[in-house]
Amino acid sequence: MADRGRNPTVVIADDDPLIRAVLRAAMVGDGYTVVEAEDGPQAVSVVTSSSPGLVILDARMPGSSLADTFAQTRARAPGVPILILSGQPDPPPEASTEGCAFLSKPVTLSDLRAAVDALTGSDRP
Amino acid sequence: MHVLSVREAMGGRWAGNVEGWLIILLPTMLLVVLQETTTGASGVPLALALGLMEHVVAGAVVFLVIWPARRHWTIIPLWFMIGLWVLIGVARGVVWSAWHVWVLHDSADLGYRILVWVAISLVWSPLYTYSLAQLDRRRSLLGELTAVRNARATERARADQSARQRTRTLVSTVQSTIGPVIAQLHHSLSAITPRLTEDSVEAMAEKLSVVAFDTSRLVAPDVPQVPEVAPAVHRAPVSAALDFPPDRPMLAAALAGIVILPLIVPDTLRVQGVGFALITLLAISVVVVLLAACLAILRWTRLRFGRPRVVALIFAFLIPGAIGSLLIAAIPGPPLSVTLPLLILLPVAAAFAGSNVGVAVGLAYSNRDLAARVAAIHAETQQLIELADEADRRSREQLAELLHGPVYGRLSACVMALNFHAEELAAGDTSRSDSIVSTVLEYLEAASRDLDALVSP
Repeated sequence: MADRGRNPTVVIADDDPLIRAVLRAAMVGDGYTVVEAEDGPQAVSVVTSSSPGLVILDARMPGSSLADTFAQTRARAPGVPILILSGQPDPPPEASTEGCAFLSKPVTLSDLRAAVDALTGSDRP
Repeated sequence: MHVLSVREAMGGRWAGNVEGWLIILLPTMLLVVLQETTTGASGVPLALALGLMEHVVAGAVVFLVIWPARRHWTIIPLWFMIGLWVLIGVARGVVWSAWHVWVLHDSADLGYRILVWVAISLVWSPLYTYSLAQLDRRRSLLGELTAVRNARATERARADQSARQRTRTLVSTVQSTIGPVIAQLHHSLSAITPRLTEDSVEAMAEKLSVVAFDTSRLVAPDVPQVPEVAPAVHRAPVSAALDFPPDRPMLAAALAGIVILPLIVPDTLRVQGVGFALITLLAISVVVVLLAACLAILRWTRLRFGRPRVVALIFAFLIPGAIGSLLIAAIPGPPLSVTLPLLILLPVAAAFAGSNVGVAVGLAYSNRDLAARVAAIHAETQQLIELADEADRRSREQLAELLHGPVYGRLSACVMALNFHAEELAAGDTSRSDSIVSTVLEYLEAASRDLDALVSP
């Protein structure tokens, strides 16, 4: 369960509709409100408009590079934790910055929950 | 590429080798027969028996000494080998003296005979050991040359592949590995759809996860497409190893002259006196000059017309000694009946010395050149391997890029969807089963389709 003391909105930015759908189901099931984006510019836009508590960002999306999307997201929502998902096994450099975590796809639900909890500081019963 | 050093040649495998010892049985027996008849000590049958006896006893001494030395050193030191060669001479001298005393009832002449045999052993043993070692090395080098040439041809073909060919090969590999598995998973998922359980969905996710992993592994840039296997090296036959241009004819002839000296001069000096020994020395000098000329001609014809016939080789090595003998016969001196064994010994010794030294010197130089060629081809092959590997890496990166979304991305999405849905099923939630399965099936079909499209021209 999401910590209700924190912002329960999660931005899920991934160009694959199936991944967005499964992530949405998982996040909604855990009590979060989900806003979706299917490319880099849209991700930056929804981060600006929705003031999320967490951003789940696919490392490879059309429209812009991870570095650009990441930098703009950080600029618009400073301090908001970012979880980067990638098809590559090695984390990108952005993943080593503070308030950021990395998971290699395909991710399991338990890994996803653990990463989200670690980033948001939620206490899962 | 390693060049055989004198120390390695003298103290290596061919030092005191059984095969080597057997090979020199006939030449040494012939030498003993000619020496014995030159000095008039005994007839041919007894001389043959003496030669055999000397060879057996000296051989026993060699193996008694070399056996513990081999256990102690991989390469036997030169000082030890020199000691062994001296010992061979001593053993032969002792056998000779014993034979002359007990069988021929002659004088022992021990000190002189040991001295002569030590001198002969000290020039012939290293020469012979060195020749055999270089011949052996050449057989290996020729084998390595064939192997590195084959490896270079393979790598050149790989490096010459176009980027398009390379990518097509890779895609074919991916398609043939992954395609059937995706099709099979699609079939299985369709079959279990009416009775989805947490376990069946988890199992399906696990299988898909393996496929996704295989897809990424097959195009991983750091995985070499061609496994590095050391090329098989087959030693060349002796006949091929002996096909080389006789190098440094002057040096070889001069060395041959030196090794002829202890075979002929001491007994000539002792039996026929200083004057005749000087004539013999003059004849040997003429033999050296003619041998140099013959070796130079052999080298020229070998380089110009290829490998000479064996008959030509025999004549080339016999003619200088024969002319030397004619020279001795032409100069007034002892009667022909006395000098006849020497007149036979000189061409035989010259032929043995010329061929042995010619082989030793020729092999030493040609092996050095051959080792350099092998090293150069090896270095060229390494460069080709690096070029081909780099081109492979680029192709893999490009292919990984091509496969990322259409294949790997879809498979990952399917794995996540099934994994997540397995947890929903565990919680008793089947509301999304139909849509999840339907989407996963669509994804698998699309992945197969895109994979096929990448393979088709």
